[in-house]
Parts: sequence; C-alpha cells; structure tokens
Amino acid sequence: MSETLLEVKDLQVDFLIGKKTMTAVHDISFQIEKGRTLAIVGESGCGKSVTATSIMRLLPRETSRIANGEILLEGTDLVKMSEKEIRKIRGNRIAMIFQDPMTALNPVYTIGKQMIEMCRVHNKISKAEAYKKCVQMLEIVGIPLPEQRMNEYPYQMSGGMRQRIMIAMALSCDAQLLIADEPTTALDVTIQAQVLDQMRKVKKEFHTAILLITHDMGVVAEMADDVLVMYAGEIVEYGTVEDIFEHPTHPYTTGLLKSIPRLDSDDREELFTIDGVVPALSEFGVGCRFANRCHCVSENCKTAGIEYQNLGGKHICRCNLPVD
Amino acid sequence: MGEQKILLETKKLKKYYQVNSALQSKKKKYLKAVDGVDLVVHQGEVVGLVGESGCGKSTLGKTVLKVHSVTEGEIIYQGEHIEDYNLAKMRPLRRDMQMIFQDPYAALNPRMTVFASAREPLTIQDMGLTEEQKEERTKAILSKVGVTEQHFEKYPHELSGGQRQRVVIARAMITNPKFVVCDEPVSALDVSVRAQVLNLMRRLQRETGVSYLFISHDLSVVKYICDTIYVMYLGKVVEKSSKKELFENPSHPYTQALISAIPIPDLYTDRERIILSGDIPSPVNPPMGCPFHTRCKYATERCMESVPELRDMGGGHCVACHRIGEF
Repeated sequence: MSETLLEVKDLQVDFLIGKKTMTAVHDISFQIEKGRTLAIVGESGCGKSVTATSIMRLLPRETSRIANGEILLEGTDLVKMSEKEIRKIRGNRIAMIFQDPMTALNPVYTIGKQMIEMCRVHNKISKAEAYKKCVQMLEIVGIPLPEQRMNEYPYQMSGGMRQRIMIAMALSCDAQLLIADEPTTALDVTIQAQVLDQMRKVKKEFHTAILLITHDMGVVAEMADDVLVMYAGEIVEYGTVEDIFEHPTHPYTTGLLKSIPRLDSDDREELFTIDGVVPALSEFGVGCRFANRCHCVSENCKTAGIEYQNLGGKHICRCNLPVD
Repeated sequence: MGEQKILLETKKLKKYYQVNSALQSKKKKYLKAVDGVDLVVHQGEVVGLVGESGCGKSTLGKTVLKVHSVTEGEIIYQGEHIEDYNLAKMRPLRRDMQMIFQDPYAALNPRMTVFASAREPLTIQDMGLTEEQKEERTKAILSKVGVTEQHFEKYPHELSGGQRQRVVIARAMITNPKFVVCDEPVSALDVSVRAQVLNLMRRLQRETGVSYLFISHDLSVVKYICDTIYVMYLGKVVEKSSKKELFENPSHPYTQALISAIPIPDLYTDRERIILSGDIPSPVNPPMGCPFHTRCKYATERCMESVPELRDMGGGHCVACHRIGEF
C-alpha cells in the first residue's frame, strides 16, 4: 500500500436552515492514497458534493458547518485551520474542477490572463515564466495551438476545451490532490472520452491523487481504484473497484448496478428498478436510510442504527445482512 | 416487425435558422440545424434519434411536430402533407401527435395541480367527452403511470423529478396519441428513477401501440427502448439501421466512435477505445464535403469535397460514407 495523502475521519456536515439544524452528511470516513483515484458515487442529494466541498472548506459559512470529524492532509487537520491557512492549501495542494466549465471561468478575461493570474498568486514567478508554464500546461491537456488560445475568451471555446483548460489550471500548481466534481457530466460522450483520457494521462505523469465525484457507474469503472457509494448522506459501501463491481454487497449498490441499461445486456427484459425515491433530509429515521426502498428489509433495519461490516481488505458495507 | 404501415415520413426535411442580422452583411448566414433528413416512422415503432449536442436531433423532433416551421422539405403524416399547415390546422392533429420534454420542472405549470395538468389536454381537444368521462379518464391515466391518488391535488414543486416526469407522460398520453416525440425524457433523472420511467414508457408503448420518436444522447438508453436508430451528426443522418444491426455492425466511423466512447460499468470489458480528436464543428460553418471528415481518421480528399449520400447497404441499413466497406 502506498502512502496516505488524505484521510477523512467521521466527517459530519450540518446545514443550518432557519433555526433548525439538519445533518446532511454523517459518519463519513475514507482515505486517498498518493497517485490513486477514489470515486464517490451516488444519486443527487446523497451528499457527495457536500463531502468534496467540505474538504476544500468551501461550504458557505452562514448556512453550513463541519460539526464533527477530521480531514487530515498528510497529517494536518484542515478543519482546524484558519481561513488564511486554508487559502494556502487551496490551489497549491488541493485543486478542484467543477461540473460546469462555463461558470468556473471568467467570461470577460482571456484564458491567458486568468491562467497567469492564478499561477502568480500561487507561485512567486515572473509573468514571462508564468506564460511559458501555462502554454506548456495547455499542451499537456491536449489543446491545439496553445499560444493562440491564451489570447482567446472562454466563449470562443467548446465545452470540452473549457473543461480541459480547467484541468490545466488545476494542475499548473502541482496540486497533490485533484477534486473533480462531475467533470464530464456536462459534456458529450465523445468529448467525455477525450477528457477522461486526458485525466488518466495527467494522473500517471504527475502522480496526482484524484477524488472523482460522479453518478455514472461507467465512468467509475473506467477511472477509479477505490469506490465509495453514498446514499442519503451516509456511506453504504466502500471498497476497491473490484470489490464494488465484482462483489457488490449492499442492496443499494447491487440495485444501482442492475438498473443501468447496458450495451451488452438483453433488452427484452425489463430493467431492474429500485422502487420509491430517496427520502428527504428531514425524513431520516434512526435505522437504515435505505430501509423504505430495500427489497430485503427486516424489522431490525428500521429500529436501530446500522453498523459497518468488514468484508475483508478495504471492503466495508453498512447493512445488517450481506446479500451473498 | 413485418410490413407495417408508415405513420410519419419526412422527405429532405430542412430547418435553417438565420443567425446574422441583415445590418451586418448583405449575405445571409444560416445555421443548418436539420439539413435534408429522410425519416420514416412506422405504426407502433420506436425510432431512436441519437447524436451529440448541436447535431439537430431536438430541432428535428420539434420540426416534425410543427413546433418549428419548416424551411424546406415534406412532412407526411398518415398520407397527409402537413408541412404547410398553420396552427389552426395543426390543432386537431395535436391529439394524435404529442411530445414529452426533457425537463419535467419546466414542462408543468407550477400553479396547476397534478390532476388539473393531466386533465388539461382534454379541455383543449374536443373529444366529445362529458365532464365525468374526463375525470375518469384522467384518474385512469394517472394511476396507469403510477401517480397515486394522494398526489392528485399536489403542485409540481411538491413532487420529485421522477413523479413529475410521470405526470408529463400522463399528460402526453391522455388523448391516446398515435405518435409521441420524446425529447431526452430520462436525461434529467437519477439512475434508479431512470429505470422506473424507462420501464413505464416501454410498457405504455406496448399496451397502446403508440409510436415514439425517442431522442437521446445516451446510446444505452436508446438500445433499451428503440427498434430503429438514426445517428445524426451536424444536421445530417450518418447511419440508420435496426437496433440489432447497428450495435453488431456499426459501419459509419462516427457511430463506431460513439459506441466505443460509452463508459461501460464493467471492469473487464476488452474493447478498443476510439478516441476522436477535435471538437464538433459549428453548425453555422460546417465543413465542406462529409460533415465528419475533420475528425475522421479514414478521411481522404474525396471526403473533403463531396457530401456522401445515405446509401442502403442491404436490409435497411443505410450509411452515409464514401469509404464504406474499405476499412
């Protein structure tokens, strides 16, 4: 096993809604090793983005807070850091790519200006050096004619190109961890293939660890080393990509995998479905949060908290009865 | 499927949008969203339309329903030429031709209850029903799509995305249409809910024998629900075939790349990834010749000069490529 880069322990994030406090994300622990990719999968509202933004400490302070837990980047706790200290981490050691590359770039500045500014905020280098570095980064992410592109505005580029610029910007400060929040969801499939391919190359070249947030199991299978499946603010299953795809154990994971229409499946049969919908934040009870949709639910599931079961290695599952 | 009657047909259908104002230059510039498409939808058939953003698939769907006017070409619905019909003439036909939109949040009136929304088409379309019959029919269709009675008096914002899409489907199906254009109906939904809605749509199709024109960018969804598939690129159809043939024997280089680009949720699928270089060209300024030649690794000089016609390769498998069979 390689070295641990980031370790999250018992993370809990609360939302403050009016006078009420609601727990959005609860009891999250995982680690990311250097040079590996961890994918967090789940449906909308399961807390995957909240988990990622809390690592960057980017959650709005007025309406949310990290109520419990530690986020250790090579041993230092990011939760306890002051705003000034965390700014040195952001961009330098942890970088983030967002889902929508149009809103993440400033439309009134050229690509070059934005990239150079960012480079110089994080490193003490001259403009000329920064320019050189930026052109080099654009080349690495596969943008043709990088010098010309430096003088262009975001609107002159396609979505795929903008997303590659975001990757270039994120990587230009040699971040150790790249958080990618649905990086290809807004892109077309052929462009998605290009961007994913680029991310894989970059990871190999710079030995960057990636935290990939997605809802697409196909992307997970292609990119991830480890997988964290989230449901309604909790981890339901965690393991290596082999554990999750070859031996999925939690009924939610198995259901999710079975309900995807696939190219190689027999499409005369109906798709497997998980009935019902994800419960709202205010509806969480004491028991298993998946209980109302689970096909192998028992009485115990609704009344008591569910413990993790260790299934060997990294593989853990929050369920009373493994379906094996 | 055997010999089925043709329900809807388009011939050389074109839809252009003018993009520059007349002040800028004398020469008008057009965005060729749909550029000469021949589409055939049989009775009871589910026709899939796939392609990436900007390929004109949604425009084609809307033009077929005359939501957009036609620039050129013919639309024949049950033997009737409808391309020149005005709104008043189209209205009675709308009973038979419905549409399901991608975003169920935007497709429902936020100030109408679920029941009122589903019932509205019956008020607009005079189908000779009494008030009681209308009530009954609305109840029947809502229960058929899986909306329970406790939700009838709720407003759209109180429902989840999946439930909202069910109401939109009920609204489209209540007039017993013969033809429904479904524009990315499951793209906005979560994976587990998507399966529920796909199953529902397929079940409804089989029970009522309606034809769908199913528009999607997701080939695995299209494969699940469609019988015939059209692949579009920059306003043109590049390949058309039965589902089975298309996935077993994709012939156009673009289709091949599209299929290979889909991430498969499986660890040990051995397949060669074709990663296309470059972006989709702008439809305002499409390349000369074959629209795909800028990204095609098989492109020759001929591809840059002349536009390939859609040719039948046998058994209704049509491909628009000069070099078909050469690689």
